[in-house]
Amino acid sequence: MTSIHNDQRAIDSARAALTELREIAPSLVFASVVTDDGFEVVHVPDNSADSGRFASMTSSVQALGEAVTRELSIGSSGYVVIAAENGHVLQLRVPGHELIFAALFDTHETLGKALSSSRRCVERLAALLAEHNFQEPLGSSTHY
Amino acid sequence: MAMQSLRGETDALLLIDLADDAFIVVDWGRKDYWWRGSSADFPESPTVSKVRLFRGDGARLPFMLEQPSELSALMWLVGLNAFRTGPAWWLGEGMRYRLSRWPDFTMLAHDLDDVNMTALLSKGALSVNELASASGVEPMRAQRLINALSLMGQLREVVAGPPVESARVETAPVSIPVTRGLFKRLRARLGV
Amino acid sequence: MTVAEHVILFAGPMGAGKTTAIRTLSDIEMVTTEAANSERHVVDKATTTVALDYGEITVGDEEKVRLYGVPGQKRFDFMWTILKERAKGMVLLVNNDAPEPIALALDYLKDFSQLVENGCVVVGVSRRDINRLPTPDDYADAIADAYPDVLVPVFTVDPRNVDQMKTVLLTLVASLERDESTKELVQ
Repeated sequence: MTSIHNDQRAIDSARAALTELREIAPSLVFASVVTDDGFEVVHVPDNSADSGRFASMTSSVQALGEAVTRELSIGSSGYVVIAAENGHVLQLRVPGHELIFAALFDTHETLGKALSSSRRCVERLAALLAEHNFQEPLGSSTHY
Repeated sequence: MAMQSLRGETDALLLIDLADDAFIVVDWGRKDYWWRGSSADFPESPTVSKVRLFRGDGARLPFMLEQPSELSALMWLVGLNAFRTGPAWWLGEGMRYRLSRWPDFTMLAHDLDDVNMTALLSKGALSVNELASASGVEPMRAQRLINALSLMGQLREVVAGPPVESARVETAPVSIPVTRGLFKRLRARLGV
Repeated sequence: MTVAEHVILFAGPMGAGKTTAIRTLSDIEMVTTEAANSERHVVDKATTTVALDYGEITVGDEEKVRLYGVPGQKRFDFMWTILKERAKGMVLLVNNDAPEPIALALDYLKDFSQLVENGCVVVGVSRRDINRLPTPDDYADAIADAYPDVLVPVFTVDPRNVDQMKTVLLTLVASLERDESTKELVQ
C-alpha cells in the first residue's frame, strides 16, 4: 500500500489545487499539503528550501491546536493561524483526508481573504482527490 | 564463595546440588542460570550438598535446556542474604565503595531504599556507615546492599581517607535545589 | 498555585513505548498528539506522536512532576530541542527488537548529550520478552565507552508495568537529587 505522500494521483491533485490558489492569491509566499504525521505531499513554489522541516512542524502545530480544542471541549479545530510581523501562516485540514494544508501569506493579504481562499483550496483538493477515486488506506479515519 | 572466585573468568560452569533434590546450574560465560527445586520460591537459606566447578574456555552448556534466568538476579539474592551478620568475607576493613555499574533493578527483588543508596554510591565513595547515615537506613541494611553489589561485580573499592564530615563546599550563594527531598516525597506519593 | 515543577522527558525511537510509559505513570488522562502513521512498513503502529505527550504526577499541593514524551522520529527533532531546554531529566526508552538497538540508543543519547553528561538520564530497554539480547549490560558497556565519566542506569522495562515504571522514575529522581547534592558531599 503506497503512502499518500508517495501516491502520484494525490501529489498531482495537491499540486493542481495549490497552483490554482497561487493564481488567485498573489500574496501567497509558500503553500504545502502534508500528511497528518508530517510528510510532505507537495509544496509550491518548487524552489522553497527546507520544506521537509516545515511539513513536520505543520503536523506538530496542527496536533497541538487540536489537543487544545479537545482539552477545552470547544468542538473540532477549524484552522490555526500563526501571525507574525512579516506574514501569517494558516493551517486547515483537507476534509475527508488525513492531510493538512499550510500556507504562508505576506502581509498584503488580510487574514480574512487568506482564510477564504485557503478554504476554497482545501475544498477543491478534496474534490480532486474524490474525482481520482483516491482511496484512504484501510482502517484509517479522520481523528478530529 | 564459588561465584565470587569466578570474577574475571570468561567461561565457567557451576553446578550446585542443594538439599531436597534441588539444583542450580550457572553458565558463567552467558551469565545465565537455571534452578530446579521442589517449591516455586527460591529458598532463602538453601542447604548446599555439593558444588562442582568447571573452568576454562568452552566451559559452557552446549545447548539451552529452557529459558534461563539472568545470573545477576541470583547473585543479588545470594549477596543480600548469604552474609546476614556482616560484610561478605572478601570485603576489606575500612573501605569506601563507589558504584561501577547500576544493577538492572526492575529485574531484581528490590525496594526503593536500595535505589536511593545505589544513587548515592554512583555519585561518591562511601563507607557502609556513611551510606547508612546518608540514606537513613540501618547500617546492616546498607551492608547487605554493599555485599550484593560487590558479589555482582558492580562496586569499586576505594581506600578510606579521613572520616567524612558533611562539610559544605563554599560557593556563591546557592538556592536550595528544588529537587531536594523530591525522592522521598515522590516515593511517598507513589506508595512504594 | 504550583511552586515546584519538575519536567521529565521521555525520548526514544518510535515504538519503544514512550506514550505507554507516560500513560502508566500519569495521574491525569494524558494529552496526546497522535496522528495516523504513514510508515506502517517501517513500524507497524496505527498512530504516532507528532508533537508531544503530556502527563503529570501531583506530588503535593504545590509540586508536580510533568512528564513530556517527544516524537520518536528525527524529523521532529525541533520538538526535542524545545522540550529538552525545560527538562531536569530524561528516560530514554529503546525497544530491543529494533535493528541494532544499542547503536540506536547511542544515537538518541547524542541528541541529549548534555542531560547524559549531567547524570540525568535513565535508559529503559523494552520488548526484551521478544528479543532477550542484547542485555542491559551490553547497553551499559557501550554507553560507558561513549560517556566514561557518567554512570547511566540501564533497566529492562515493560512500559505497561507500573512497578517497573515507578522504579525507573524514582531512579532518575534519586540521580537528580544526588547530582545536585554532590556539591555538598565530600567525596
